[in-house]
Amino acid sequence: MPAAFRETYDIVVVGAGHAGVEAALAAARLGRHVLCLSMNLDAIANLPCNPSIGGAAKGQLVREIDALGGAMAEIADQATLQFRMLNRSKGAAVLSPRAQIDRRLYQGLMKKRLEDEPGLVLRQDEVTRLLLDGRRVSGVETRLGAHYDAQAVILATGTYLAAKIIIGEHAHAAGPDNHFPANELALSLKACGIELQRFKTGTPPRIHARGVDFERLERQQADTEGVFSFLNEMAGRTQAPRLEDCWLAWTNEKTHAIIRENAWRSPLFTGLVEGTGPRYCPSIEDKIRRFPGRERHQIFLEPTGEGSAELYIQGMSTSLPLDVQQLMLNSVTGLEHAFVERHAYAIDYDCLAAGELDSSLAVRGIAGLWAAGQICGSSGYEEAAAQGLVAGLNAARWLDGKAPVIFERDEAYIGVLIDDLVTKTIDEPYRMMTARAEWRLLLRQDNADLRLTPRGRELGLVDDHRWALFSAKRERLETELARVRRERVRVDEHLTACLATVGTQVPAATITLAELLARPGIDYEFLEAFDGGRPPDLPDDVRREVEISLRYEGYIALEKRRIARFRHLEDRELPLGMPWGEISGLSHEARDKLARIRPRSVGQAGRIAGVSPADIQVLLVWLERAERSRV
Amino acid sequence: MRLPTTTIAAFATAPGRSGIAVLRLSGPAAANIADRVFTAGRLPAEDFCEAPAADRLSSLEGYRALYGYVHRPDRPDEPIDEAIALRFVAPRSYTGEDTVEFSVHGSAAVRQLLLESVVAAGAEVAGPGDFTRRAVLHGRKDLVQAEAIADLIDATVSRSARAALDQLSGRLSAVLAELRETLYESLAALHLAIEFPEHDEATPDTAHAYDTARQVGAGLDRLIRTHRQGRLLREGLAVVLSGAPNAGKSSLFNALVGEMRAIVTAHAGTTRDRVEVELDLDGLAIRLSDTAGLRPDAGEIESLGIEQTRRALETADLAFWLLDAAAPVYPGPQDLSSFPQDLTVWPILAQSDRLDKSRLDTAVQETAERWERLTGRPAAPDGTGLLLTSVPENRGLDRLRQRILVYFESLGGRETELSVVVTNVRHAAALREARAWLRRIEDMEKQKLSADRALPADVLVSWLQAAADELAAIDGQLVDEEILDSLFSRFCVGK
Repeated sequence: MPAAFRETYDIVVVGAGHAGVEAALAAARLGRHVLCLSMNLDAIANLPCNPSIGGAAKGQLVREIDALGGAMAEIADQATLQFRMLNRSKGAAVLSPRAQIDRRLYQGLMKKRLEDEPGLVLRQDEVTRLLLDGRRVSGVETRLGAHYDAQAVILATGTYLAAKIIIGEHAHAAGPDNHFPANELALSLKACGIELQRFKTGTPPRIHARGVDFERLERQQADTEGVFSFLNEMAGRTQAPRLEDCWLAWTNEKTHAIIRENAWRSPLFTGLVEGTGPRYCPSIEDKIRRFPGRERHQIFLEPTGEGSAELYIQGMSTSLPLDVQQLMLNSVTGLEHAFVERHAYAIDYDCLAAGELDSSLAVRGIAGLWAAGQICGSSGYEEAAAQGLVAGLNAARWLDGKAPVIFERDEAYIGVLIDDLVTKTIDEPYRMMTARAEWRLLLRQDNADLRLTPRGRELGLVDDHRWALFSAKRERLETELARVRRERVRVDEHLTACLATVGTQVPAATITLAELLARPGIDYEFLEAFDGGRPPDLPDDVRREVEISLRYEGYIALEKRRIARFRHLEDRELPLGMPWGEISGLSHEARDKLARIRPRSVGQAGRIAGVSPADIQVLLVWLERAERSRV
Repeated sequence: MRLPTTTIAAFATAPGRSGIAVLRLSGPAAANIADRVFTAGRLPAEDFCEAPAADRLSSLEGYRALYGYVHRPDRPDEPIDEAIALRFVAPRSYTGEDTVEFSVHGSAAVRQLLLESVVAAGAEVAGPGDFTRRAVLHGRKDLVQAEAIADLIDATVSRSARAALDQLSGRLSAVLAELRETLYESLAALHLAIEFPEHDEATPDTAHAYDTARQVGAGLDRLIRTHRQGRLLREGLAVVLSGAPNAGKSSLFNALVGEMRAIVTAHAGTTRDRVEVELDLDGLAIRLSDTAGLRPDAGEIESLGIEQTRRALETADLAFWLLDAAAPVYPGPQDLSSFPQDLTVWPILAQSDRLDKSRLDTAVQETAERWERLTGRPAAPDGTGLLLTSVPENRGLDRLRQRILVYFESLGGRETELSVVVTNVRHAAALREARAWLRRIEDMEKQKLSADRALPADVLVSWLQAAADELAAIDGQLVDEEILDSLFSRFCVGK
């Protein structure tokens, strides 16, 4: 059937959530003609769950996205309601920025960002069909009957695919925030031979501030300073734009009794929920069941926007019926008179089954098809945005005939994220955590730009403005590092006395500034009186970077030894088209998993669940033989 | 890529120590080759006739045995030895391939002839570890099992076999799992504090982490110490008899061995080569070496032997210096320098029959004193006296055996209580690596730093995890998932 409305683009991005917007922006920045389709333009970059960005490991991701020229950090900095730097006492490597975000403001700013990007067309319509030419993408078809030709399509469907909202005994087909679900696209993807699986997530209720007795809650204040974007940091704009409070409350025995009495009405028991929910985000009824010994659980009340009375109740995610939600809320001290604006719900949705993705985020078996965000099995805005950027980058490179960019596990959290999504059998929505990053001492939020901005520049993602600022910062940093490594101070009585106050001593006549700065408890401020040659206008970010990099140098040297040991398996590449079925000696499970996931190195093969060290030995023996027989 | 197509053969029992030797043939042609060198039935009597087809190994079911004899290929009239043939059908065999095992009498000649015959019939001689490699290749063994089996095959006597079996039965894995669990517990608490900093239970409990490092570190130390004992169990205790020429080393050696192994003559310097024999001493393996006498003015050939003696001493676990009771020659400065620093060397007053009985007590007393003065080493273990031996009178031999045994057991120390022994070098290396990470944490703690100067939680968590990684690598667990499981099962987190 000839479509009445037909246009051609290089790349079509399906969805304008956090993955979709970064994908569209990255591809457009690389000179591609991009169409970004969203069912509802008021849902662009929506934050349908917690109104915050960042946190442990997620904050590192936001900084990395920024270092590669992505949009999330800059927009978040403008829409910040409350900024906090988490984990201050736990070491620089796990220092994690997090901000409460004004939802509407964030969405508006992101929409403008997309609109301002040359080469990018934003349009409201629902993609209902993926069009193939053989096993190649040829375009998409929409609800309104439009036909868009494109050689590359990026699926960033979030939790919309065949989505279902469930509250207690009630269920209906709907995406997050009661938006339309994408039912036809799910069917179309299946018809294209793509295997899907069902995941579940949930969100807590939002209440009106009028019903809250704040006097009886604990106040949690904002940091006055702190931003995500290196651009703001380098320009010295580190003041948080707003300083709103969050509030802490507690559940009690009464709350727990209400939940226990009504547990039988949970859709988890009635079988309404089909998907697998995340371990790290259990619903309140799950928490009560699994930890019966706990007398109370924390609840945070978080603002959702300037001038909005709506408060997000973190910690009370549930899919219990409306009447139970009301009773639960009112049982909490300070919330006796609280009333709901939006009820809590569980949502289940389709996402790609394990093994459908390769390390570049391309969908296997269909040329020109990419995926990013929750469709890949992840959870979280930051995880989605990071994948979006990589999918946009790689789709554009593919059109240019260039090799895909794959970030390694020791380069970036983005690398850990994608490697895990591709190799692990993800059976719950995947959340980024520092525990997943073997090289967390290297992958710090403070050095994300030093790690990634030069690479981003090379790839064409980093514009001249950012590059100029970054180059200047890097030069100052290098000059300053050279100076502190070179300049020696005399260890006189005054210095010895000062050193004693932090419990250290120097048994030599002189010592370099760098050696002093490497010691815990000693920073620029401490050395002020002894460091006469210090440049007067050293920016804060450079000072901090000198301090952290000197202090972590020794730790990282140790870490690098570990990396080297792991590297030799990582460098052992596996050719495309390994005859997995013919390698005898592999366990059945390993053979299936390897054939499905098709790892690109022996190291990656070893990380696949179900592949044992014995299988790796077999693989190594096989490779050895294959190499010998080639000679 | 195909499976190995060759059929390999080798003796699966260690040479020279057992009454029965087992030749293993493994590969696609195992049964056919076996049939060419084996005939079922009694050794050929007057009227030899070919065995019926049912008695051919190639048509035998797995796990079935045949009694018969081995012979030159296709020459049943040239028998080599009686044999039991055991048939394994792929994949139910050690290697996962078709396999035949022949048990024959262990003499060197029989072994040699049989191996030549199977090679002539088309087998290839297997290299070290080839069988186990094939077992791994066919998925019959995982890495830890494979390594334990390699140890088992090498094992010479019963206790060594037990050490290897213990590993197979998973005792080491169980001990490791316990240590890992302790690490995970600490890691879970630290990760909670890092990943969910606002959680009410999220206080980075570094004190607990330091305790863990100490506790697990001590456990690893115990395991690492057992590695030496494991090596002794596997390779045996190397005992060297040394002393001046004609001090009676060879006759004592032969008396201990119970058969004439070394050439004993009255001419000084007869033993030019080092002679080593393996003995079973109450279930423990002893490698006893007779050495050339250390003599400074030796001729060229003898110096070669003397050089070997020095080398034997370097790798010895225990040495004895024999003194001829009638004409004792004490070690000179050169000899003393050839004793490694940490080697235990005890003197023996040998050939005591050559001394008048009335003078023995004084001789023992004087010898012990002189030895200690000269060498600065004790003449005997604490609370015991100098050893006195005479081969013709069969004196002191039991005491000598006893002394070796006690010393051997002392090397294991209390570690026998662990009832687990680390026999594998790769495992020991991984344990040491894990230990090194924990030691770094302990060292930091020893500096007694204030909270803001102590090891930050991010580094602490990385080092603990590095240690856990090393332990997990021994039997191939995925650490990060285990830690996360531990975290989520212990703590209640969520939005």
